[in-house]
Amino acid sequence: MARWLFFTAILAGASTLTGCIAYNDTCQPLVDNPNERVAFVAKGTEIWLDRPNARHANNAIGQHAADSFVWVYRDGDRPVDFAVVNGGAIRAEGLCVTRNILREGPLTNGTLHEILLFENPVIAVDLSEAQVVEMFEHSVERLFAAPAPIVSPAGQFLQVSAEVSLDVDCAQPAGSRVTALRIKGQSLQKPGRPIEQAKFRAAMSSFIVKGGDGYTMLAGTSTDPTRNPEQAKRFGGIDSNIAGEYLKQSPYNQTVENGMRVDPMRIRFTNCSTPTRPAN
Amino acid sequence: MRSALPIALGLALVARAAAADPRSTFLYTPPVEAPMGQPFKVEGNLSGGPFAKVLVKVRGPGEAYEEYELALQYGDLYRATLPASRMVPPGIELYVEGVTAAGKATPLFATASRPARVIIVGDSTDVAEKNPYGDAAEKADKKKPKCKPKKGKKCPEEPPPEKPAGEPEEKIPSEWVDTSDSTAADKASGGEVVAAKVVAERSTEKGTEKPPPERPPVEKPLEKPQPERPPTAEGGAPPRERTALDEELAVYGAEAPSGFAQKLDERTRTTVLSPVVLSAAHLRQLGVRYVHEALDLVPGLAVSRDVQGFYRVGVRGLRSAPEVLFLLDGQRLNHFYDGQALATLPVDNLERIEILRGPATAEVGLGNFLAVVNLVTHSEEGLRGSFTGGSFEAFDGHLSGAKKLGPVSLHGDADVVNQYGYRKSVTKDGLDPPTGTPRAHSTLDNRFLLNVGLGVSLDTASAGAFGVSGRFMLENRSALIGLFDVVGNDSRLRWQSIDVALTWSKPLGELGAVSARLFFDQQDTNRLWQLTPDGYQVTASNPDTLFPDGILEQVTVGARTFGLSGRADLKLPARNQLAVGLDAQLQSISSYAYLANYVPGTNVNAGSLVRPDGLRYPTENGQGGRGPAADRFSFGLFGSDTWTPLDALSIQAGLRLDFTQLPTADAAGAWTGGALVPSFGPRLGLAVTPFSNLVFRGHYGRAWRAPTVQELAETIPNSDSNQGRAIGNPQLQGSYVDLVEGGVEYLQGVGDAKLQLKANAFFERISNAIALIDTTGNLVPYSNRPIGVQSWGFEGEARLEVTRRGVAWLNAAWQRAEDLGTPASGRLLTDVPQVRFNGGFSLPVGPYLNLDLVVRYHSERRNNSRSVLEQIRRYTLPAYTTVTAQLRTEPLFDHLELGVLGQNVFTFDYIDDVPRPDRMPGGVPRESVLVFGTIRVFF
Repeated sequence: MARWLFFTAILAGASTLTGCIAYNDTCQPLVDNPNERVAFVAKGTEIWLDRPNARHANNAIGQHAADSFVWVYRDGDRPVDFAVVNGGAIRAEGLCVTRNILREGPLTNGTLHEILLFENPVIAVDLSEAQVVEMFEHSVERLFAAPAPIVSPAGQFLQVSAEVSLDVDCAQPAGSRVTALRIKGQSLQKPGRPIEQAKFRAAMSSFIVKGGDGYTMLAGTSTDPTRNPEQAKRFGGIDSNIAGEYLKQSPYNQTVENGMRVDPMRIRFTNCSTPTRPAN
Repeated sequence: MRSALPIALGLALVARAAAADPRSTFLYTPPVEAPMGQPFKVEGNLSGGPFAKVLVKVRGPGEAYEEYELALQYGDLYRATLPASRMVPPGIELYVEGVTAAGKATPLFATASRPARVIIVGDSTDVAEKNPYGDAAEKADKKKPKCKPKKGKKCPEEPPPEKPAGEPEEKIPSEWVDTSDSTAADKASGGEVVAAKVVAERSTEKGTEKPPPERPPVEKPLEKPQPERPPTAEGGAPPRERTALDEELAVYGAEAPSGFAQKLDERTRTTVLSPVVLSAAHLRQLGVRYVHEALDLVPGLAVSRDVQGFYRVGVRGLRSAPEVLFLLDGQRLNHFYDGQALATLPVDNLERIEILRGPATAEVGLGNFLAVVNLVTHSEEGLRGSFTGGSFEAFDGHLSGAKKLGPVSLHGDADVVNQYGYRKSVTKDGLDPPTGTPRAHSTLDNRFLLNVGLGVSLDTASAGAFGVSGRFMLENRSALIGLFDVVGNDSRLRWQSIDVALTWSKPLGELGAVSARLFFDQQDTNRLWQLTPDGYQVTASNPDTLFPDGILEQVTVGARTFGLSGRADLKLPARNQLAVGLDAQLQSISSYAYLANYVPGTNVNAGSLVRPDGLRYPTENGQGGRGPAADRFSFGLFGSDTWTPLDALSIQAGLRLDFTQLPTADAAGAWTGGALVPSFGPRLGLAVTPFSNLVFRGHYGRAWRAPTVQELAETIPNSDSNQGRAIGNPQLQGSYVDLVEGGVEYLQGVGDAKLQLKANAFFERISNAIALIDTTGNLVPYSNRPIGVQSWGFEGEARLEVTRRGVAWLNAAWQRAEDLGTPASGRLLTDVPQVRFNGGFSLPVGPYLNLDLVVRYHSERRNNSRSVLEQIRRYTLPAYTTVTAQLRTEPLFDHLELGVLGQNVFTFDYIDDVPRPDRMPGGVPRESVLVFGTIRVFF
């Protein structure tokens, strides 16, 4: 009997190990002031964060993040002409709660950092017209032509700042889908001129400027001194911090009536599948 | 389970039929070998009778039988202990008989004419030489008054019987005689040897018993005992080269007979490491069929399957295929290209599995990083076969055997495995729409395996022992799910391996021994992956992107190794044993091809499998030359000394120095050449034995590992279907692991039972760890973690042996692994269970049946949080428990065993992790209940 008691005691002792299991806390806020409001989502509107709406349509978060990149360089030595944010950087998953829809009302700093959670540095570089055209062709080459369903949309789709106006025709083959491209009112032509003849300064995350998401035409520019690469100096130079600070001082943070909303005219889609409102 | 019931009933009927044999029987399985000069227990269960007494009759070669009475312990268990002086080489023969009250003798186990044989390992000459009393003592013994023989007891001090005049010379089997010594015996025809000096009288011939011959007193040698089976054939076992790890661990494979035990054997008390050894008997009790099933029951190890169907061994909370070294009879199984090992072998032909967590001794070459798993095939003489059939059309057969023909020894083994494999639904994959009904798809676990090994050795007295061995393995299987995040049931994975080794070893008498090994292996993999299902069209509006057979990718890799190693084991003064050696090998990628049936970028169907434009193979340097990562020369030196200044203290110090050829690259990842990278692996350990049944151990070890070719140089197209997959990083550096481990082992007799307890605590730190962390969702290069990764924890084992057939055991492990390069809030590595329990028991069910029950528990697993993508791709794999039940017979008719095995008998659903849990939230579904029936025969 004694030995069985002994063995049982071992089992009981071993069972206490289960109390020593630990996991990373997935709900820790990413910022010190997670509840601080940075902006309102405009009254009567919603911002959709699911993948089709982040990667296959104009998206308010992406547009305002791109605007913030332009803003952060505005007072520097080399202001940028435009900025882009890849759709894959806009996340609905969150660290704790999936948010496919941001409803009207306040948007907090914690939520914004969970949506733009990669915390990539923002870098500005000089690009040639040819590179800009090629970049936007790559951005739209995997859009789905109507009426095909949007399945696993690619994160390479670029949200653009207010300086950009882009027309896309998904009925055209990949590489020829950009039908019109204007930056600060200037039309760009295909295949584009070399940098000596036409230069555009752009701001974007370090991820895509280093060739991520297939932007191989940009690889090397961030280390090429002739392209004047420059990381944003304010707010740690991090994309989500810059976006938060931009929104806090913007009119979108004044009243819910003047809150954030999507600008449907920055990228105009023709013959492309249109995402629908997601379920939250 | 329904199918298990009739099988179990059938098995019980067969066993019952055997039990209905009116003959009385003594259930006993003697070991093939036994150590010299140590008491030897004979115990077993008696059925039938009644008998007034039960006797075991024992003799040496050509001698008369002596008898010892077996005492009833309890129930039907009888036991006798043969004295140490009886246990002298070359061996003993024995049989058991019962004697009724009327004096009638009934054979119970073996017979006088066909006794069972037990080889005694050692050299009787050595024993005589080590007799501290020498001839004088023997002469003194002869002067002692003779004792009066009693039944069941002998008079060890009696002089040997003199040869009666006219007594014919006794013939003894040749295998008893060391034929390498021509002066010891004269060879005779018919495989027998006339031993002129050995004369005895058979009791069966004379009808009376004569006193047994005197045995020289045996002194336990000061040096550590010889390994269980020496590399030469002197012990009767076929020679096969044993690695240093074999030598280090061999003692653990020798399971002492159950019974009262108060003392750990000497080797256990002096070793500084804490290995785990699963003997063939253990493996049968555990109800495992394959190596990885056994590894999953080892404390500190956790085995899971990936989407491709590979078994992944996590060691102390860390998991990386190239960091677990697999050896099969000393031959490395890990593929040079990716570090995967073709080690999912059946256990039927394995004599034991040895597992050492952390860096092994300095003798073991590069690759032993997180753990070493050494698989040892059967080598004892005889023929063994088994056949298993069961769930999902699983059929496999196994055969192994060894035979000694004078100085020549042959051994071989073969496994043939075929299974259709389990099918379980994969709830969702990467091509299913985010909402709506997913496509119907499921796992596929087809597998065919052929594993054939052969070896022959020649033992010469003057030049040493020479051996040649070879092995061929072929695996042809499906992918369990697919390559990455989509089900691809048409994937076919072929793996073929050939290895050959030439060995030589020669004892140097008192000085020690030397050995050398020349080896070659060639491993070829051909993996055809189906990335999308049949009829998949990438762009609905573009018919050129239609793939009737799905998008396919084929990767073929050939890798070969030439190697040479040599070592000397030297006995030095002051109780030192020194091992020194060197090894060198040249590994190279002999062939490589990456083909795909689509054009990256446009996703147009290429019509056939073609090489994508612009893709640089690992065998190429991008400038028309050979890639520097494709060839690797490495050279290593080691020295290891074990010093035993006191009986209660053993100190081991070792050092390993390696030079490994690695490629170099610039900041852009372009190859710039190669360099010979030195690495340094010290080892230091001690074992303290305050009591004979208690040992404390501690050791420190450092080991280095080089990046694999895959980690350095793999390239794949940057295509839609490849986003998130791994690519090589030419700038990758090697990494070091430092391990500090302490442990205690305790053996206690509890009544008639034996209780063995072991516990270890460890801390290991990996510098510059090589990891795959997805930070972008695009192609993911392997990367170093310069700040490091660490793990600490402890493991405990308890084993209670009440009888040979009655065993209960439990092991537990807890560990905490951390990636120090991650912010504190996400530092824990939780994709491997932090707590594991394994336990079970074996119980006799009547005289012929045994019931084995094994319970396995893994704690909950969750995603790592080293990158934001890992944080948002959350998953939780619930804790799970599985139960394995087995009913197996004792040996029937001396040659047959039957068994029925049920794995996961309660059909507990459990899953393993996938690389993209956001796309495959259902993970890798694992097997439900599986039932197998097995027949084993042995001669």
